[in-house]
Amino acid sequence: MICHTTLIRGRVREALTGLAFSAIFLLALTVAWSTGAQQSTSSPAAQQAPPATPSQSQPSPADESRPPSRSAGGISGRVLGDDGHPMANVAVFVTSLGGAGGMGTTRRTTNTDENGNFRVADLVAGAYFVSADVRGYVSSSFLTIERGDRPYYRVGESVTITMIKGGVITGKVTNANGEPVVATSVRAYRVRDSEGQPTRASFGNERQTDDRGIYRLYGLTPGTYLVAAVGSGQFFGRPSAYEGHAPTYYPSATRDTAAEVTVRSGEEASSIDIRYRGEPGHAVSGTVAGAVDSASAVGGVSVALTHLAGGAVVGQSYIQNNDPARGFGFYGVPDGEYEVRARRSGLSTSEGAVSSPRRVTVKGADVTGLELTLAPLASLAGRLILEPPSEAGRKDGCESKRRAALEETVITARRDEKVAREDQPSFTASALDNTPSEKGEFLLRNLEAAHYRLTAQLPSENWYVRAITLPGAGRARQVVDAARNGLTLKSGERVAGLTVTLAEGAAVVSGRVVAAAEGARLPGRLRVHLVPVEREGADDPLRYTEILAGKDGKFTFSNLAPGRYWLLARAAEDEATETAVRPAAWDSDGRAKLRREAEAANIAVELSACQRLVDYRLRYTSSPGK
Amino acid sequence: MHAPARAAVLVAVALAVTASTLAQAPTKEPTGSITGRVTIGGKPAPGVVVSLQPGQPGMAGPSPGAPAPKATTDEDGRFRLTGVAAGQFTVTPIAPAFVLPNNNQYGQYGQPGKSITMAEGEAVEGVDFALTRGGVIAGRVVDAEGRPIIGERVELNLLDERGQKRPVSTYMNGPSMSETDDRGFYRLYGLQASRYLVSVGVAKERGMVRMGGSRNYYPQTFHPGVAEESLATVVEVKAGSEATNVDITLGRQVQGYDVSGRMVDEAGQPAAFATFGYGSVSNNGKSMGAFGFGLRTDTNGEFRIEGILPGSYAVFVASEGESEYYSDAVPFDVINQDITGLEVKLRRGGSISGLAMVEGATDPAALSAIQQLQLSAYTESQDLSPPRIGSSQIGPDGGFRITGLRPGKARISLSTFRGPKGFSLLRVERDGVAQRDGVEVAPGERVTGVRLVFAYGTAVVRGQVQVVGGTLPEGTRLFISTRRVGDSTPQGRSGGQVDDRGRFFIEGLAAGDYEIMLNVIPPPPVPGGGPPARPSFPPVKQTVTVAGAGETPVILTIDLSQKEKEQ
Repeated sequence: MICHTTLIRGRVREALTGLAFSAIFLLALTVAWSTGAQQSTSSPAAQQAPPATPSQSQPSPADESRPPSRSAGGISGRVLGDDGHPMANVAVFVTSLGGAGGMGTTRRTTNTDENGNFRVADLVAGAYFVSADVRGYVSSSFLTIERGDRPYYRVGESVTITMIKGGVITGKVTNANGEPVVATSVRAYRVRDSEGQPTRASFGNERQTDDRGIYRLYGLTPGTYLVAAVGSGQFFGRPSAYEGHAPTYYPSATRDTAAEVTVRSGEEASSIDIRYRGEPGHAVSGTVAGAVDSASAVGGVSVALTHLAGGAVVGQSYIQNNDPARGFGFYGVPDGEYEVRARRSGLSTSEGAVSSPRRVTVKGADVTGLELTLAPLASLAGRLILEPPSEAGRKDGCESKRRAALEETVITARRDEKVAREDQPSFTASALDNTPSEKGEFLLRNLEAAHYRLTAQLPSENWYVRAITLPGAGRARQVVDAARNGLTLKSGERVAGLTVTLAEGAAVVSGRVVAAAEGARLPGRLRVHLVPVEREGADDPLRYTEILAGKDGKFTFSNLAPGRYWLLARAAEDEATETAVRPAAWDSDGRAKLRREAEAANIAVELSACQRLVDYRLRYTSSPGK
Repeated sequence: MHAPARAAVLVAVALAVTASTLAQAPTKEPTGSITGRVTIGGKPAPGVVVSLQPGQPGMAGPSPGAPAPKATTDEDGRFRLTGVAAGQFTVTPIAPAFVLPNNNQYGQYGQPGKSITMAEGEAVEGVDFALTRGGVIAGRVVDAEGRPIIGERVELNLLDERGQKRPVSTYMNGPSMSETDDRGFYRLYGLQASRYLVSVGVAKERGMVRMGGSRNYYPQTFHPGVAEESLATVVEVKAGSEATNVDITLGRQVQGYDVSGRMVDEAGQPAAFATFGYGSVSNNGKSMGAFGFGLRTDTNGEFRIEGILPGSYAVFVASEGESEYYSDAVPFDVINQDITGLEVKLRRGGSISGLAMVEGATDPAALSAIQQLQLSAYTESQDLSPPRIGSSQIGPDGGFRITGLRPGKARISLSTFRGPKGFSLLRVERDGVAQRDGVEVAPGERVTGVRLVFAYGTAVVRGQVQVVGGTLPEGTRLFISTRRVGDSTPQGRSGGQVDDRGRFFIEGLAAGDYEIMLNVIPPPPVPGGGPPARPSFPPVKQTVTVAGAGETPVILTIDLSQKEKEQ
């Protein structure tokens, strides 16, 4: 008997963050049973003639031939509770980017000591994601990702992770007769952030009711939720009496009429009782064709059903490689607008595939016979080059706190859609990160056909991105500026030869936004822009940069090309807190508008190579453009 | 919200193997029906949902397919499932807080219910279920300082009459049931009346394979807070009663150990970004049990597995897709310290390629369906060898290629986990000669021109088991297996359980002679049950000739008087 291990929660996490590196956690762990089904174990106690420990039996002849360890050092840090107290004995995970799939090659685990401190030693140069796991808590690392920031750490750096105590939603599910509804799944979708701003609905948690009909969802990220009894839910177990039922939202509603439940950190929302309706939903089913074949055991196809209003993935259906029908189905789907999309995960050795989204309207009847066609994903390969410093640069010689390595750079392909699509299924990644090899070669795999922008997170504050180019096609062989307009990838396309040129001598500006008039109030949220003054930089997005100022108005721009810039602060109160904002300078209209406003405000700074301009006070007057 | 790290802890969920209903392609609306009555404590149980699932108990299960047909019991507890096709089904009343008679526990992940073999248009009556209210065990798990242990799995073992432990599935009502909540509370319900051992944590020397998750773990601790099973307080659950305050106080967490080394190719060059796995090694050191894979070496080919519990293991390269390479399984024992300096060598494996064909088939559906067959190959070895993870497919032109084979006799077989019905691998031919013991592959050899001959059939054997000279004890289970005469590899798909009425059904057979074997499995000891089970009865064998299509009836007889004479 063959048993497959299902990592439901992991899949959900993938759906949530769309992060490539989460794939390392997901590569299905397969367990083979010879007989019976003892839970993930074998090897009974008795050990007859155990083989000698390999360190003895194999005196490692490789030792002499082994290359010197490239260990560059360690990453240390501290885990704190949201009350500021250190958390002892907490599991900390340090995961590298890198490898052909970008899915990480190193995953190291440690525990915090009595004072909440941790250290992972013997890491090679690279970029690392650091997270901690305390059950019932949410790691600040993940919240940062949801905001679109990608906090990677390098060897020698120190990390502080804050664990936010999750909220609890609990209640009882009963039927029309007031009897408990036993073993139904109850699911929470987060629809607003902790500040009450609407966010793309994300899957919060799912638990089942007990024999009294009681459920308890804990470890919820602070925010506002819709809570639904979803019947058989996401687990595979014994047959459920609730299969095919449409979800009943709290208190006894459809999604449109559901009541919202707000939970704060560490707080409990109790008596969130649901009167289960048990109304039949409809089927959405079909087949998947196209690039499905993969001989690998981990290359299965999944199909996601996304609710268009809010963007929550409400169902996932998995197709085994060798299912001859290649069929998928969602059952108990209530009336509404949906999008269905199939995806085959890629491997480090091969590209995955994805179907184009199919819009589905469910209205009082089943939707069957959908045909989704998988098209291969694209890849982007290139090289990162650090220009040797110019004569002047060598003379000036920026001082550096640490020596950075090329392979510590994070290259990101970020999807660039002029209009942020509300209905974007959240299970497709909107950005993909990877690190280059020590020679600077990089490969970004499994990219959907779309328009992309390339960005780089640089490990040295002395570096800046000078140019991103592609070898030109045709006879002229003119180099194409891939920074100005980004690049468009077609399905299955393999773009190679991209060059990302870094230069030394980057400048830094940091400071604070202050009200121009004495006593005037600043907007609640401000976005600060840096706009090139020189005409030749006017159409170069690499010369533009923008950042959301802190609550205290503080901002820092780093990795800037030397030159003259205007500083401009704009009110950004209507920005959603948890979604990444498309930079204004990514299209020519946006750049022109920025330049007009910046020129009018006329606050200019001259940055020479390696300059550190600190404590700059940027006076804010309400944007003339508004 | 849960960090992915913990999601990666090996959660063993048996994805039930679903008997595919695809090949049945009914030509007319099925007209069979199943009726019965559900009672609780002898009284009718209205409003109970009864499901009908294709397949057999222990094999049936919700697949990604459509919801199973259902019926709800009326005021008198009666249900009626209609429109049932011919074939094998499991009928189950869905009542998670209740206990089914005998509980039909087929292994830890089994489904309770009754197996029914249906004939075309048959009306089966009297499929009755007498339920009893299940018991509850509830309590709290805390550490030595009284802080709640959150999200920890509670394990339950039933103690039978003879004091034997039997694991009880606590997963079937969803993962929440067996996990402590944020206050450390858990609540296990729907339990049969018995005596139980309740524990949390990892049993000693289980050689458990964990990937991801924390490197720390709690050693197995029984209620109320003891490591020794013999000191555990046994929890008595009476029918429908609650055992509360079954609390467990845990001691300190224990650290697992790290195992590291590197992976190199034949030239001694580091194998960067290679996917690898590790698994437990069984007693004799020659076979691997549970394994996990998906970790990768770094740019220097170095690997590290963290937080391994004491036990015997082996590490190996887990090739993705159609890799040309294989590795040995390099064994190691974790006793009380980290292990460093392991070296795993990748070797270029041999390959077998050729053409697959279906004997005597003219049906284009059969010819195109061979593309959906999954081939796997296994090389017999005296040494410990790692599991082969990938499988190979047959191309549209019938061509196939199996790569990364270690030297030796490679046996090719058909994966029967899902995939189309009705196929069996008859012969593997090399240069026109059948390779009964496998195809000899020299180190790195590329064996070409191998022919895989499949049989395809849609014939059915419909059987009836007769018991003469006595009666079988209550709860005896009968299993059927089928082997084509002259076939070296058993056909895993063709078999199953005999239903309560003594009927069985084997489908997807090609024309030929088959040996049908009936295995008699005595009932498991039931707490509070009668005398111990009688010794098992020897298998009953019979050979039948199956024609090209249609049904072949067969009657197998268990003569209990025969058995008595032998004793």
